Amino acid sequence: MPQSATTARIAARMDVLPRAPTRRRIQWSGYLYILPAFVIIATFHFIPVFYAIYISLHKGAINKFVFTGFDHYLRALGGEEFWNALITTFMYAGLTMPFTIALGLFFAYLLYQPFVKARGLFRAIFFLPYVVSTVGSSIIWAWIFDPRSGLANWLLRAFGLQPLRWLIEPSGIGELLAKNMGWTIPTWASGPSLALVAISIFSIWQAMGYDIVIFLAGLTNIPSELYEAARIDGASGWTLFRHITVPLLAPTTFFVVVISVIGSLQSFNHIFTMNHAAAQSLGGPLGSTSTLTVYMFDQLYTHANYGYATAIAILLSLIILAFTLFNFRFLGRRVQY
Amino acid sequence: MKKYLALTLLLMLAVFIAACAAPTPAPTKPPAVQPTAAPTAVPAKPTEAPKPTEAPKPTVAPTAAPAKPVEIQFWTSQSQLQDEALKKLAAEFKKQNPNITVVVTYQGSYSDAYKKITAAIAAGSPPDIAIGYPNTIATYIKSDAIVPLDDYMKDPKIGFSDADLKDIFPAFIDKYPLYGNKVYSLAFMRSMEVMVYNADLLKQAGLAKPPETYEDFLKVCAAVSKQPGLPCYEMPGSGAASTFATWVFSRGGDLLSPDFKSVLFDKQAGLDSMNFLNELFTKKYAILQAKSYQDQTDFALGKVPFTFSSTAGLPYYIKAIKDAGNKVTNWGLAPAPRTIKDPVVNVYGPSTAIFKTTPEKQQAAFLWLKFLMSKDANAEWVKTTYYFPARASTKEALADFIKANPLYGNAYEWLKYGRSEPQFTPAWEPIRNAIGNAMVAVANGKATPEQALQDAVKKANDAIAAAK
Repeated sequence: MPQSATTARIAARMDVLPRAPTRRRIQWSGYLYILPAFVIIATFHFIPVFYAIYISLHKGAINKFVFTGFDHYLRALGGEEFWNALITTFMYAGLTMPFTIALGLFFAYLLYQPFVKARGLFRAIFFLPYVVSTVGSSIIWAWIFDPRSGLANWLLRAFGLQPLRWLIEPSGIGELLAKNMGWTIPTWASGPSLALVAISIFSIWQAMGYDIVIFLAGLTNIPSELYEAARIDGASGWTLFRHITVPLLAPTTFFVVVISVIGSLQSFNHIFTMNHAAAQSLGGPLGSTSTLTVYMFDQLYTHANYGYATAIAILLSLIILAFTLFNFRFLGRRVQY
Repeated sequence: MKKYLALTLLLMLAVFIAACAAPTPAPTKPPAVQPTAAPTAVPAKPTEAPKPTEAPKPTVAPTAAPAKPVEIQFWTSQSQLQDEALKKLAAEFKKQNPNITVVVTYQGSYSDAYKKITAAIAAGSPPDIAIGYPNTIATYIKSDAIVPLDDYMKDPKIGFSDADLKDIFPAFIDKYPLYGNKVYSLAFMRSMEVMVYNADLLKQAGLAKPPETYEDFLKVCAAVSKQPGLPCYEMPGSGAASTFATWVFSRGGDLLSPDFKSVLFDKQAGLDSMNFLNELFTKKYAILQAKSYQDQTDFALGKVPFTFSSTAGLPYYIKAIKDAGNKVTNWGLAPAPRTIKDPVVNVYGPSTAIFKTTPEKQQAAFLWLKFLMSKDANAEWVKTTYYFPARASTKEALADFIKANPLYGNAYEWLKYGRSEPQFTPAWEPIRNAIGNAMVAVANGKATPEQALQDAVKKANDAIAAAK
């Protein structure tokens, strides 16, 4: 290689001489490698999403669509049914998410204690509901909540309490409690229906195992030296949990919260199955378990309102996106990795 | 290298496009009869009016078959014994029409089948022929996926003769007022909503026969409810729209106007029906079911004097009573109580529609449907399912069956009192739900009968507007 060329290259590398414009070589083979994945994702993910947006802007039946612009979105946002379904969705999320996360953390922390033997067995037992078929387990829970022969009412009777109608009860739990006390409360204070509470109990039972496993993984990542150092300084019990476990578990908790928010807003299978198993209509007794996903399904298959149902799906996606962004923006900030 | 990569990419793209564009038969308009179709049997002579002195002789088998082999997909919601019966009939049909193969496929409940068909229509590959409730068929019509059957029915080679049309009950030929009043589906089976009663429990209330008035019905309820744990009526948790329709009909009312464009179920007959339901619940004569068909199980155990059921449920009642150790021996079927002179029954049930595929397949599908409606095939079907046949002449073929099943025989006689709920519009399913919800609201004391009906009317009007 001539000396001058080598010098020029070195000089160029050291930014001594002005760099000559060079054309970046495109490695086409790289695109070839990602092509199969791209085709699959585009076919089964992006195209359906764009098609859904297209349908949501049209009116018609199955394959005959007429453009209507944002009519479906305006109808949803201006209608009582959509907001009722949204409130039910939030009530369901409020009933399930905090309890699932709190109980998940509680049991994970318990299982993490050195005195607990056969941790793997317990972990498997807690995780089992999560991997069992949702349809199968929801039907079994519908039997548990059967007002006449179910285990739930058997337990209530055993404790000398009045049996409840569980999955067929449209009254709010606030209303039922007030009625028992002989009080009258306004409609807005009646709270979620007992049917929704029963479904939420199932949901907590099912999802808790997942949270336990994730929290356990998070707990094992906390260095034991920190606990030892704190103990030397005189900390114990709640102080250890409050000042070491909780802050160091923050990334895990953040992950669980994000996943739980998305999961609870998208819930459908067990709500649908439990209502069906209890001989209820799609949205449960008087529509009291009609979350947005159930409402969307009802609009799609019962009413054949394809455009409107798809518009609800898009709105739900935007709501989930907003919550996820909120979580990242406000909760994510507080997380220390 | 670049060339090689470009070629590879091109090849992959071609494979992808080819996979996406799998050939599907283009939908066609309802065709006239194919000129190539050769008749396999001597056709009836539709151009000749039946002589007044002779009884009309209905055709019993399809009269034309395609020249080339055709396979048609028949999607059903008929499981187990019914599925077997249909497959047996398909084999019999194949013997008569060697060029047509019918593939009978059970697609789950009516609701599941509807979802699958909807997806199949959207994908451009619907079945050739399918069973479904008329309101779901109406949604397929709206999507331009169904062939009107009028031309096929009138066709001189493969259609129905005048004698056939006289023989077939009008309630089995489905005209859709919202879609030009054309025939878009035909039924080879129908059932009716009847009152099932336990005669022993009625006797305890001093009634020797099933109640013909609502006052007598309540009298039985008052007597029965004195015994703990014995409700008089168990309403499904999602309401009972077909039962409500029967109650309205039995009071001389109707649910919708004949053109399906206005609501009538909030008129006096509807209000009286809802008040009757309210009375049943406020007096603790009725309870809500927490399991599907709980009323059937309780009836078989002698725990409830009345249920309202489709006659298609008759085999299940017989089985439930047998499974429960034959505790109930003295029971029967009757039309609902009434305030009008003649009894009335709500006749409903699934129909069969032909999808737009190819002219050959559509014709083969029509021949198959015509076969299912023929006297002998229809009789075989009825014996398995306890449905009612499409033709009056089928009764002859069912003589032994009716003799062996007097309950069915009784109900058969009430076909002449039949009225149909307004099921030939896509609005019917949401309206059913609205009525069901209104019943549940009344049952739970969440609304007065008037409020519940008003709410249902609002939803029904929305559904009617959306169906246009």
